[in-house]
Amino acid sequence: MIQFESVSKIYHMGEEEIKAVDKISFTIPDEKFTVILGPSGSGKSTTLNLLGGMDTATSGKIFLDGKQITGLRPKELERYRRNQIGFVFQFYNLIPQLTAKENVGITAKMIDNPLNVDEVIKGVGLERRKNLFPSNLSGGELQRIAIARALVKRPRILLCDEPTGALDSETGKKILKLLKETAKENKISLIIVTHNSNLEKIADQVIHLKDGKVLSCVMNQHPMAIDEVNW
Amino acid sequence: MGYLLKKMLRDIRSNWTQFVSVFLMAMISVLIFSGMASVWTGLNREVDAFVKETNMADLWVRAMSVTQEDLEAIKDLKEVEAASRCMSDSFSVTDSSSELQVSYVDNDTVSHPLLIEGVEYDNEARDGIWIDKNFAEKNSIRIGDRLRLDGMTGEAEFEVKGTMMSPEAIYYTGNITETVPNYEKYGYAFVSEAGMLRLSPQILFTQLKLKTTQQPEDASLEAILGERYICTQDTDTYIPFARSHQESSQICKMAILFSSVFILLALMTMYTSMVRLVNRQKTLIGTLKALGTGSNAIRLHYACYGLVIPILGGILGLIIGRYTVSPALMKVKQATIYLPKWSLIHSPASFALIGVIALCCVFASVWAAQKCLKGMPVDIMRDNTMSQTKKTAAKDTGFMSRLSYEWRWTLRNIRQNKIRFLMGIVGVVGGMVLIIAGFGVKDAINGSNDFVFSKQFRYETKAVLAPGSTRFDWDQESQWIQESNIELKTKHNEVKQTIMTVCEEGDMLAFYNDRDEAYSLPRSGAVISRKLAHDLGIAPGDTVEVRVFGVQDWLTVTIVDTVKALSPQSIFLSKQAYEALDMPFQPSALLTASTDAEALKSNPQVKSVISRQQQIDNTNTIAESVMTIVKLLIMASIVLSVVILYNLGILSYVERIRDYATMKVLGFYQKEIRSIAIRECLLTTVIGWIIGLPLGVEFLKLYIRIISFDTFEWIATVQPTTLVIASVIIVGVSIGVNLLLSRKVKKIVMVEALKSVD
Repeated sequence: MIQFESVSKIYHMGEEEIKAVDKISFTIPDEKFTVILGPSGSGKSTTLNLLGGMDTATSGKIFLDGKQITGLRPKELERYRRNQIGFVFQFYNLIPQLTAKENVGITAKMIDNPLNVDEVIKGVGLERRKNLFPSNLSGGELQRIAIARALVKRPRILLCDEPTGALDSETGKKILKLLKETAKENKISLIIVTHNSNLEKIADQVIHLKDGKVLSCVMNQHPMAIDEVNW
Repeated sequence: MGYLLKKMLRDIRSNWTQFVSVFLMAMISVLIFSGMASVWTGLNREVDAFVKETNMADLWVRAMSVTQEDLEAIKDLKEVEAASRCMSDSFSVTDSSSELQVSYVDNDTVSHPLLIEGVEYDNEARDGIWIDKNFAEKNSIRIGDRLRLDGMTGEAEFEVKGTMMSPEAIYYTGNITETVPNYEKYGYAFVSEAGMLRLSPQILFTQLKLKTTQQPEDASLEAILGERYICTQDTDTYIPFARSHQESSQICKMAILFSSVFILLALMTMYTSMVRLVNRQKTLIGTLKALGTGSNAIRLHYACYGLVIPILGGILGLIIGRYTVSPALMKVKQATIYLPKWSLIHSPASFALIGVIALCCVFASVWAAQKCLKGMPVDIMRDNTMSQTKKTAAKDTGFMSRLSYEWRWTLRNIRQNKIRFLMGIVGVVGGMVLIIAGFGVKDAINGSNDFVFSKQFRYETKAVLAPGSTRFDWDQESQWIQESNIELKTKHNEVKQTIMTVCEEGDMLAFYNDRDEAYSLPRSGAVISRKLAHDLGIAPGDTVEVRVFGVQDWLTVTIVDTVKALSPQSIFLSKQAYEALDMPFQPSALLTASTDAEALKSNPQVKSVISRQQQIDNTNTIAESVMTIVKLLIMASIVLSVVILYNLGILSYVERIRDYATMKVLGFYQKEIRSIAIRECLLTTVIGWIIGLPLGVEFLKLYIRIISFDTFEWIATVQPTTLVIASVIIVGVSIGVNLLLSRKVKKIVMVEALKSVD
């Protein structure tokens, strides 16, 4: 379970103080699909960064299974990212000089008990394209590889920052389906931040953010199938 | 265009590390070149002014004796504008080890010395003497002092009337076997006819100084002087003068040699920096084109990057070079070349160099931008986000499949950035080569000196006999030799003035072959030192003609072998071989194992005495002059290595910062990211090091050939310690640079790095 307790992140630009998130509190249950929704500047990416150990909170506490994330030392944060977190970026962030398989493989190499690289790539449907470089792959294929890269190290939480933001609607749906299914299969907590409100219909839990504050945090009793949603 | 100018300045500010590299390369290349060029330009200018002011002769004719009739006949030759006769001889200063070459010139219209202090030269002054300024200074002699000389007819005392300088003695060594000027010991002076008669029983002119429109034929001089004619020397062969040109040419060659390495690197740095900048600005270029900006305006915009940075760097190099390299080098040259005035003058070549570097950098910038200007704006913009990777599937077979992912990534990255990688290698190779050459010169000089003064010269003291003296009894271990100035004519009719050494039986002078095995002089024929043989194209078995100064006839001598005799560069004969040519052996020096210089000095037959240690010190004077330049070059080469490796590292780092940030997010440890980040630099260093080692040794050989003078063969030897030092410096610089870059990896802000895709 993930808990945010009155977490704030304040940036300073000159003399101006910008509260990216302002005393936000919420809880995310295990193995659920959570969507953090909000317009630009609402603080959703900051929330994701704080949870992913990429940034530190100015105040407040974040817990994962009762263990406090905030306050971890840089080395501990490295280990946390390495062992607990999978990350999928909006613009894929694949290493251009490595093939699809190598991008997954280099990540698999860093942990002791990764999933089988070929199996994971097969799982995202890119078995035949695995030896191509990123420049030869479409947006959807790139995101599939990015997902395979995140999954291969058996993360506890899969964080996705606008994973369909750069894709057309059909491809976006396929990617979401893939994310949801693989997360469920692997018992991973899937957290997606997006400004696309259509996603709230398919999530188990939806957290609405605006101006750095939590507007609502609701459980969706009857999430829709992805195919049922009109984009 | 004004906005584009602002953009350029901001681009330079935000990419300052790469542009600083270009700036530094341009600065260093101009600094070294202009620093040296100022010295040779100033030197040439002052020598020319000195020559003009003193109406220095352009041809010197040696003869047994020159009469008034000869002079008139020579003046009548159509090529001759003016002529004067000169008698000169060396005389010891009484109660001193120094000696003066005293001259009397029948008219000073040609080569009149420049008065530095005192009264003008007076041909009526019976007891007046005008001595050379440097000799006076080194021996603390002032105007009005009395100077006693040991003349042929007894001791004669003169009053110092003035000090002077002669362009004919810009590089005056005083003795054929001396390699560097030593004004404490050797100087020159002028006296009147009456003064000369107090030193010598008669006036016998043995030299003609001519001012000519073109060199007269030897035959026409011989027709006038007959058997008394010995030889002619022009401004290129008259060593006391010609050496200034040789040294000037030596500086010029060194400047070109070293600057070209730096210029090449400046161009490569400029090109790689611009390629990177332009690639990152493809969207912008596409946008500018879409908004209607012409391709030429965009080209001009990027050309300005290549124009501004090298010019600024070049100008700073020009200024710094003037206040660092120039004075240091000038000080070195002032130790051996004597001029009334020294000046540093910016060479037009230095300004041309800045122009050339700027032009090449402009070309490199435009070339980099040119690739992005092709096609429609939309195509240019579309190409922005994804770098150009191989379009085919990667076959995980062969060499690549056996490598780790990290090495595959590194090698593919290198494949995409070939010029950057090449630049890194050239930088490391350049650094290695310059450092090996720098320290190698020291090895070469030390090794050569060690060979000459430990193996070749086995004596402790050398006593030069006074003219006309004969051998005397000396009960210490010794060897008599005859050293003579000669003219050497090769089979291609090339004539060179050099030295001939005839050796009596003895162990004081040893010879070696190329395998460093002891070699005995043959009983017939001559041997020649290697460098002289190489310079004149003489091989064993060749026949040469030799004429000893003062002897009319040419001798035909067969060269039997070449020998490893580093100094003097000479032909060597055994006494038997020389006498077999019907020439009498007349010893001119005694080489002895005794260190009792005083006993030799007190012998009236001895003109001067020099110890082996003094000869070493003299040679070290030359070595020190070279080492000053070398130190500058070593410093420059270290800066070069740091700049190139840092630039390479920073370019690689900046291009991959997004990848590193991604890796951090994915949970890679710092050390894992660092190990990937340093691979390219490591590979560059290793390859550069491997190439640099043999190339450094070859470069050293070339360098040694350039800085060697006619009189001494320096052998390009490299001590293992030099290779170790060069390697440690380069590897140390590489490690240092990588440590700096590693710290940058630590400071990557993941959130910031992942925000944008460009």
